[in-house]
Amino acid sequence: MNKRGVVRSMFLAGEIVGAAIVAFLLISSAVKWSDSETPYKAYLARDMALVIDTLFSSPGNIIINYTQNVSKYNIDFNENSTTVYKKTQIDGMSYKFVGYKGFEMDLTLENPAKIQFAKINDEISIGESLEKNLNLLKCDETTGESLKDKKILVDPGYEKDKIEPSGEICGIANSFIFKITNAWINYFNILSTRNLHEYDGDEGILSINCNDPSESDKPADAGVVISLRAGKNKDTTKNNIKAFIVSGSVKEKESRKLACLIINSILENKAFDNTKITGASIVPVDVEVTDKDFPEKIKDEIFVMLEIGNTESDDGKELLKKIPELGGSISSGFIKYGK
Amino acid sequence: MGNKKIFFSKKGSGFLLGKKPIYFIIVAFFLFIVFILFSYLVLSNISSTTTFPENIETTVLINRFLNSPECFAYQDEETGRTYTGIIDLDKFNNENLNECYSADEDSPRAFMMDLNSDDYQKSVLTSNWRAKKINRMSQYVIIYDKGNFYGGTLLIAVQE
Repeated sequence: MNKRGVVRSMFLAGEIVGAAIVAFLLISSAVKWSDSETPYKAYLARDMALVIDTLFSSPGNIIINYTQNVSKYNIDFNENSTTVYKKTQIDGMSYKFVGYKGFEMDLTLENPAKIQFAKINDEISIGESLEKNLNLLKCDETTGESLKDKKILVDPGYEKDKIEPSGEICGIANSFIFKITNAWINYFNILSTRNLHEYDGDEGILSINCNDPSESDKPADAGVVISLRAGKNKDTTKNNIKAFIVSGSVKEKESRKLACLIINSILENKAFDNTKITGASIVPVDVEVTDKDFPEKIKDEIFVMLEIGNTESDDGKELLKKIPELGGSISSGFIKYGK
Repeated sequence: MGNKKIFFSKKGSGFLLGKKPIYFIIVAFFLFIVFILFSYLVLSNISSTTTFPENIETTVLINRFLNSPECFAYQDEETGRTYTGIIDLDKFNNENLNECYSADEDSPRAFMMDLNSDDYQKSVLTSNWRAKKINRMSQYVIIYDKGNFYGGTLLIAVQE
């Protein structure tokens, strides 16, 4: 073959390759777009972007169970878009959302059976099953101090027209004391509004004699006061955890944070997964006008009165029976704050 | 040198390069047009099959500005409760807006907002605002300023 023939063949081959590439691009695009699932993928991408925008618009905690069937697709979430695709991202459809500044996400869900979207305490989460608790409170991250060397007064309260607390509350108070004295608080830093049994060094147990108010420590001698009560609400659908703190107290911020950490520890305890807790809140109270029986002279202390469950409801009774778990959760919140 | 001779020979081989590149350019140009038209037609068809209720996206985004404590919504420091629809005047500024709506050039919406009351007139806009294809709406709001509450109007311009 002469040189001109070689060049002509090369150009012909180049033309064929070029035509093949163009044909491939057109056909693959046509296949991609004419795929009957493409509109559905576009819809899903846009719908999920809208759900994420809705999370950012929510003023508080929210969990959204996504009800569309997405089990046939892979879904990518990044910091500003959702992409729905089947095999590769080339066949995917994307849509944009707008997050907060600094929002980061890099998540791929492969053929998810379901999707949950959540915003809990300003944190966006997406997953197949998030196991998030809507009632979790947002705790102040700045406030805090070591409680290791502080005197801690535990008040198990009392039932109406009686001098002793309920058996459950007494048990929870003792469980709490047991946990914190074994974790890091010296037993001689524990005070109570009831007589304390002698510390058993062998067993490492210090406990309250709940029926004996003959020796009552004064809150003024303590740095932290934890008061425990069983909740009582005629509405049997309610089973709440409430923490009352003193409004206008010198230690209001600290009390709020301690209350927040204790409540969140209870809500996050898996032992209560089968017990329906309907809500949680921190209630600032004016001690001058409240009908709550607060211990005296607590205005300048870190003070939390924890009202647990509802003795009128089945769920509340069930919750109050879980004495070591509640004691453990309260001590865990306490330790989180104190350390 | 040999190749050069072939490609630029006046005896015919120059024809190979003299006409073909023009041919390829014209073909590529038409293919490109066909491809764009094809894409546009198919994508507009897909878009029409996935139409969302009008303004839903805009409404969701406006709700963010009014409901989220990260944007303008007033939040009681003592209780942590957020009061939706009440604008905290201290938060109503461009810096805060772009913190809670971190848009880029491709983001679906851009916003400009004017807050008006008897005592105030304040404007903010998102970083992707280019003042094109604007829809306007207004909404009555409550304004919180240093312990006091006032009535006001929020004029919202949305760039689609």
